[in-house]
Amino acid sequence: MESLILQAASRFMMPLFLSFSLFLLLRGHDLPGGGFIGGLVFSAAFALHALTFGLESARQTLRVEPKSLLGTGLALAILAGILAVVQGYDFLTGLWSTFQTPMGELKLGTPLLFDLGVFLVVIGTMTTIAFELFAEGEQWNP
Amino acid sequence: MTALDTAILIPFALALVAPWAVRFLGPLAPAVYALGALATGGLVLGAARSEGGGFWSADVVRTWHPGVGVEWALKVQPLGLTMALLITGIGAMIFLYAAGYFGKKPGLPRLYGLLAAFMGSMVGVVTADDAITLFIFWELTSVTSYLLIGFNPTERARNYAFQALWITGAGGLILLAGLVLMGLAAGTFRLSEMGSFADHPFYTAILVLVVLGCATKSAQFPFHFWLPNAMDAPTPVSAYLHSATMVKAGVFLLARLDPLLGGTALWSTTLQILGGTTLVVGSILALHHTDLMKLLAYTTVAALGALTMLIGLAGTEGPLAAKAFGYFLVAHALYKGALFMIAGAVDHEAKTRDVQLLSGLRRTMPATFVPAVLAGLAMIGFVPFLGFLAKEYKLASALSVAFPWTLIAALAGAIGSAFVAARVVGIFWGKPSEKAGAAHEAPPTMLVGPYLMSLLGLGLGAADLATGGAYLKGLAGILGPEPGTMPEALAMTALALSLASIVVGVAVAANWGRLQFAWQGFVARVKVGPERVHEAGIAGLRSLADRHTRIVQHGMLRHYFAQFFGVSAAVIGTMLLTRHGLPSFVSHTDPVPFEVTVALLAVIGAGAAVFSNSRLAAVAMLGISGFAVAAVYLFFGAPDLAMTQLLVETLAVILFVLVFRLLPRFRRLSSGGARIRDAAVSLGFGAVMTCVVLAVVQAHAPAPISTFHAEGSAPLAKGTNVVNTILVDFRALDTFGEITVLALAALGVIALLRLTPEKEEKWSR
Repeated sequence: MESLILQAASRFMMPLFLSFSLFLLLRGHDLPGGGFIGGLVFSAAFALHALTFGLESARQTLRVEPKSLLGTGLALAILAGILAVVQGYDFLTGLWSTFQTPMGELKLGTPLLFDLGVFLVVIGTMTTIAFELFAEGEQWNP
Repeated sequence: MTALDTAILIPFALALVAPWAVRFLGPLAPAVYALGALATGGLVLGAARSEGGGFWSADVVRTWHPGVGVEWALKVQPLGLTMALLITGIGAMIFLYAAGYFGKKPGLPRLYGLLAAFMGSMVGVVTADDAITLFIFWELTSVTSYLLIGFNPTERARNYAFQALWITGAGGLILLAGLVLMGLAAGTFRLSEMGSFADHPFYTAILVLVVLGCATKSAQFPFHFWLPNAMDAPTPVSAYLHSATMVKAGVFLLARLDPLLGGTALWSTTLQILGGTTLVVGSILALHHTDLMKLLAYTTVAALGALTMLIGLAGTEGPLAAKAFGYFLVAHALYKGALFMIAGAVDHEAKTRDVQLLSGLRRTMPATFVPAVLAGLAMIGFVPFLGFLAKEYKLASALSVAFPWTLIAALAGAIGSAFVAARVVGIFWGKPSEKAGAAHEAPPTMLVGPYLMSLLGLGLGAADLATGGAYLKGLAGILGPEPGTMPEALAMTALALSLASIVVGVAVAANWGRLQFAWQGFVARVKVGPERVHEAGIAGLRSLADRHTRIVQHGMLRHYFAQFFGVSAAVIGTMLLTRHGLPSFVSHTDPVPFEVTVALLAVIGAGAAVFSNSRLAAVAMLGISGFAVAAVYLFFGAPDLAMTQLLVETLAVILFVLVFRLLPRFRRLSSGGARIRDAAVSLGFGAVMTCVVLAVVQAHAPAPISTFHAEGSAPLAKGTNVVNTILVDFRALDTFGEITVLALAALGVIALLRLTPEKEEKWSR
């Protein structure tokens, strides 16, 4: 789609979308957000990018193959569960540790890792579907 | 972690790292893997020794699924120890052998990984004391052997692998039913804590299920055909699976359960008939084959039949048959493993395994010739090989039973093994054939196994004979009490029969050139066998599935929708009306203008979508509905849901737009009747869902789970966003299931879009 307005807007929107999506992912445990919503925002950004600049450009910007995000995400989610098993808890028990940093308390735990897995799987799924449909479209209406 | 846990862990760990370890270790890999196998065997042996006296070990028990009484329980018993030593000892030689067999060809890491995983599963089977633990390892052997049999990337290997999986897998399910019944009847799944079931009302059912399960695994008639077919695998696999391990699992389990199920006429007779028939069928079917592997495979079927028959005989004849079982179990594993390896070495060097094309290999492969003769003599049952002892006791125990079938079977087996041994070892005699002349000696790694195993068979037998049966005392007692001395008359009769059967077997083999045509003519006329029945059954199942799919999976999206929503509305509506009744439609609060506006927007959006004349407009209208729902979420304090709804709506519109480019022009295709039907389904589903939601809101659950989540969120899950703590902590396993579904859906989209026949060519590049 050769729309100047869309292209100009997209250039500004992409970084905003992407940082917003990470923001949602990280704040999700305490405030509205989380891996699922963050992943949707991320995917929306790339769907928009593909609509504006074409599939090839979107693929290059994403850098990784969308399919590989599916496996990576699932592996991270399993890892989050296994970490608890290794410590002697049930599969997927949340483990937390708190670190003192100059900027305040930092709370890290396996649920964040799990949420990161969800985030990646959602991105992988949505971008895979979008990119496949784009490719299909370009094949019939080049 | 105890020695037994470690023993099972080692092979699986070796399997996991195989893809990297085998490449990284290079020429050291066979030695490392062989040592790993020996370490496993050593640990099992060590565990057994630690419990003074007999070869029993302490129990290893961990809770696994306490709710259903399933435990991770291991215990070594004499029979299990014997099996574990065979499995790991032969496994070690197979690792060496495979390295020589594969040489520089690729695929060794995969083979090593699968072999190691298979070995671990087998060790698990023979050391498990909990019936369910045992079953899980049992199934693991089925799965790993499926992968091993189908190792070669050919259509035929895949089919035969599937055949093996299908038969042993179906048998596994039957076995599971039997084991569960045993657990219910005994009140425990621990085999060592169960008593005899002979008087229990479930006895007959348990016996039938267990025997069927074991018969499929150990290739008993009429399930025998998968085993010779599985010879399509690379030789190391055939040698390992079919000499000592996989196929002996069924026999092992029958023997292991003998104290619990045995001691009745039903058990003894069933096993005698089943085993005897398998022994006869295996021996007869071996006759017309000329492929080295097939010849050996059918005698393996016969040997498994003999072992099953001996378990049955042990019930009525006691000690003699029990001793024969112990001897034959070990003797067969040793000579059959050696012969399979030798057959593979011949195939590897002479490029054929057809006995008609091979002769005079003695000259070109002298180092292979020696173990071949030794293993062949053990198979025939020559003094002082262990095979001789096994055959003596086998014939003696068959002689002392009044049931003639067992004696006929034992004789058929003796003649058959003499025949096959003569055929197999015969390829080393005579003038070198064209193929044999071009052969070279096999690499040393391929000969270690045959030498060790055939010499072990000789040494063990000789030692036992020299000490008057004292050397292998433990082995003799694995199935029952140690017998006293055999009556001399019985021993002499057995010896005479044994000699006669050797003479007959070897004579037939020597004159097979003349006899075979008559036999082939007979074989060609047999049109119906279990394998044909099995094939017809599979074909029938496929065509049934085909017809079923055509009716249920017609590929029409709108009919799927109509079916799905129609059935859901009918089922849920019926349940609601019969169990709960209609909810109240009276509101207790006054409508708020904002809510009314949003609800109206949703209704207008849905209505406009239905009557729209363009796809894009319809999607936009649906979007309005979706945004209105998001507004409702927001209004009632569910920002997470609202955000998700908004994002999903947005992405859905983008995806729709992408799809629209590919669709033909918008037209009305449904007839008036179809449109009325669709409207009825939609309205019906909507009405039912409305009632369900109202009913849920009006119902007063005693203690809603949401209170627990809301109160526990911060202290238990360390987060204040309840929606998120539910997703990633309280119900993380559900979320994990959902993201798995998402990933699969994405793969499904790829498959749907890419794998159409027209595109297959394009993507297969």
